[in-house]
Amino acid sequence: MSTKAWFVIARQQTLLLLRDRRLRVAGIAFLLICLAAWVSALARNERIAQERSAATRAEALAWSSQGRVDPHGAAHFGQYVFKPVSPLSIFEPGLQDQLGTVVRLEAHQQSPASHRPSDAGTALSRFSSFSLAAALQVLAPLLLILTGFTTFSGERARTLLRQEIASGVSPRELMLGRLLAQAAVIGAILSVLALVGAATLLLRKEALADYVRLGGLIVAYGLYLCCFLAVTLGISACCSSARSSLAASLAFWCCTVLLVPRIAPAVAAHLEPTPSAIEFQAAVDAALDRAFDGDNPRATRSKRVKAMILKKYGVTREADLPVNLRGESLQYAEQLSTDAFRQQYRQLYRIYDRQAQLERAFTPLSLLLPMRAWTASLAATDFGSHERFLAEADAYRFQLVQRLNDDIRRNRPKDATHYTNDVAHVTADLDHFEPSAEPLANVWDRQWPDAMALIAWALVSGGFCWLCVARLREPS
Amino acid sequence: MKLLLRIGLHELRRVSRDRAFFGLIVAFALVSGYAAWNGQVWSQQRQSALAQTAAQAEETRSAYLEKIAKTLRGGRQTPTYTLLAVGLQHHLTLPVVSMAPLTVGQAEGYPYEARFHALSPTHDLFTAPVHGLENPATLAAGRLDLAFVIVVLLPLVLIAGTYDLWTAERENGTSAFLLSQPVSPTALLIGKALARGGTLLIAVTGITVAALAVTTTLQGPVNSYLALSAIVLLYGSFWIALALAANVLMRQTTTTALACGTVWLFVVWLLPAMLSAGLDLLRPAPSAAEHVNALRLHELELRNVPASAAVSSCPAPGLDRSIAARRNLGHIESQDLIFAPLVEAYETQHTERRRLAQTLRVISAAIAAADALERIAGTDAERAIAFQKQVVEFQEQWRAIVASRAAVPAVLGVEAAGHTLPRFHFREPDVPNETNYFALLAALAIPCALLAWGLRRRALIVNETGVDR
Repeated sequence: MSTKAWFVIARQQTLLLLRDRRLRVAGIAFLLICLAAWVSALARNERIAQERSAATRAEALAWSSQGRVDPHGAAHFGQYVFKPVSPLSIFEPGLQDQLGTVVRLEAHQQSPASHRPSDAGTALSRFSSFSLAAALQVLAPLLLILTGFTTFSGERARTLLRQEIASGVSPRELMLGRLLAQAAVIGAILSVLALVGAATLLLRKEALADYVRLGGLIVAYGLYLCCFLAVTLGISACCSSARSSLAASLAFWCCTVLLVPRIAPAVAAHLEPTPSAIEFQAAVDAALDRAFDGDNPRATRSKRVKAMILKKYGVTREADLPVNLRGESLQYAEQLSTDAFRQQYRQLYRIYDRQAQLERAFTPLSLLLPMRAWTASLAATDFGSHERFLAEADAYRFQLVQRLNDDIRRNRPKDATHYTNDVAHVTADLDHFEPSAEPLANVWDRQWPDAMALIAWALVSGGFCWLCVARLREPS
Repeated sequence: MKLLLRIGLHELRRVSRDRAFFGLIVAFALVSGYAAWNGQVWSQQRQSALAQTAAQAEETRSAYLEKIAKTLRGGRQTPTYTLLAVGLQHHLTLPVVSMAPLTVGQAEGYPYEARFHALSPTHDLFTAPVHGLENPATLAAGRLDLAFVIVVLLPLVLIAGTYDLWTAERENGTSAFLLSQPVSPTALLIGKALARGGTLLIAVTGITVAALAVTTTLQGPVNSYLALSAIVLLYGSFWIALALAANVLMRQTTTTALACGTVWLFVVWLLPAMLSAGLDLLRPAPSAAEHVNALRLHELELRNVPASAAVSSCPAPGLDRSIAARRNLGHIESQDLIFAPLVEAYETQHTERRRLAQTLRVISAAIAAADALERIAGTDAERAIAFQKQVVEFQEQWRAIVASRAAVPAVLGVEAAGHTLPRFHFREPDVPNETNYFALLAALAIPCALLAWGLRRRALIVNETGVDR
């Protein structure tokens, strides 16, 4: 009997929702916004992907057309790598606009990614970008609140609620039926998005892992929106008037979507400050000095390195060395500078990690915080994915520079002339830089606390909704 | 006028008994205080970074002058060319103005520092990664500064305080009674709006200005505080006008709240987001990847120029040829000439994009207000671009000195004491603020027209039927 009752209520509620003209208009408007966001993101990503693909080809051409040059000169000429666009950034741009897109690879230097899309903006750039994620994270909860705040409070004010309960329906059945009806609307919207997403991935021939990521995104959005739904219905059940229900629900939305997501990073950055560029550069310089036995002047350093190399090869004169001293020294120096740079960047990125952990402390106050972190990591538009790209780019840089240094090391010019070689030939057997896709297991290792927080939010909001059922029997 | 005053005073008495009204003001004050403090923390961090740079610059300059003094003490006729050309690295910074705690604005999207010497390639002046270490997640979340409070939260406070200005009377059934009195509906509505909305607006304006005054310890120019007050009042009036229009057009408080909320969402979130997407479609940002590659191909061409060509154009025979050959002024300037069209094309695309974005701000009052606040705080795009231009001018100034000294290899003489060597002082750009207020006013015109239409329609209904529907 009870199963039937909640089913009937859910069906009736769905019919009511579908018949509601305002809701129909809002739903269509929302889908149109999603569609517009999807189309604009698709066009933008397509343009960026084409630009970067062309740039990668032009870069390879520039490298190969150097001809015979000093290989170390070529290492300073360097290469540029361009960050590929994640296919799921159409759905969740994450930190895409705040992360650099171009990385210069050169000798003795690990550069951060430059040319952030958010650079060189105007006042308009301060506002949220138009994306599917923003529509689902900001707008959709608001629409749920606007459609759900009168569910019980409005009926209570019109004394309809008492009549419904008097007709023999239990408050739990009432709540479950209405919850399911509105959840069905969420499900329908997310199904449309899932289909559109899958079709996009299919047309672009993306990897299977991307479908799994898309599935994860849809499930996360389902949980996120259901949390808002449960809280809205819970508040509606508790409030005696539609007005107070609306005020409380909007306050919850305002806090969880507007305020806390801005306060949390600011507090985290205050407690765990990011070093200024100058401080960072000073730390890098100090690390380089330490690596190169900094107390000694440059000339003494060179002598020390030379003595070390001579000892390594068991000779006393440079002329007796089986290798080119310059190449051997450069290889040694590159190893030291690379280690120093990596250590400093690692420390910087650990500060970001600690800031993220501090932000997580605000999770009980904002559902958007874990949601944003989880979806960005699934879409490979978070900092973790970017750090992986930077690490791979630096590994490639090291390999490239050391290959060029090794060429110098193995070739001793017979006279006083500077050694030159065709660098394209020297590096011919090095594969072009191709960043790898991050395994899903890595994403889980990094972000599982956010996934757990999302589940915890779902349980707590569900529990809240269930507890509020008891208030349905109370008169207004 | 007397009638308006009586209505206003009556409404004020009602407001004084409304605890929610004061709760709103207290909540706004708390958030404003936090936002102002947050802005102050950012401003201090930036100032500290600039102070570090200034200390480094002073250290470099002292070491440079000491180096010159040393060569002079040695009695050698050291050629000044090399010392002037590459001996001194300049550290130029964009100063933070006292009103900076108001908003971070665009300060994190533009370089605020340049390090170079006279012969550094012009297109490379701002490519050093000195401004990009902030956690991207913090940047993406956006700063909770006073500008955010004013642009995003203030409308919500005003809407919350005025959404039931007239519809509450209708729901209570008192509107018919009020309209039956010898009072024109327009005077009634205006009086109530002025009393309730005006009080709230004056309170929030006072709070924002006070919060900024406390954090800046009143060090900003009076004009800036006045401009801030004017912007908050104008922007707030826009939202009160909207709430009033919704009150006139809607019948229920809930519907009015929903309508106001929807308009808020549209003006503050959806419209700017759509404009941003439109801007990307109409004037996409120039491709950084293409630009980098174009520069690179030119660099490759230049690298293939025989070194002898550079040496032969060395300006003063007998100079340190190893440096002069590589960093010869003429050679660098010819490089700049080759790179100039590429850089110019890239910059032009950015400028056109910015220009369109500036035009689009008049469509949304929120963007116009944010833009005006950034200008007051000195964190706007135009100021940052002016800094870049002035850095290039300063480098040209140094190059002129290098060129003049290159012709005659001689010791520095008086210049060695550092008295005549130019120093960089940022000149504030002369951008007329009136245009920004005009933009804001233009953005206000549409809803005000809507309000006027609404009031007229409402008045007609009352006049025709004599009762409130």
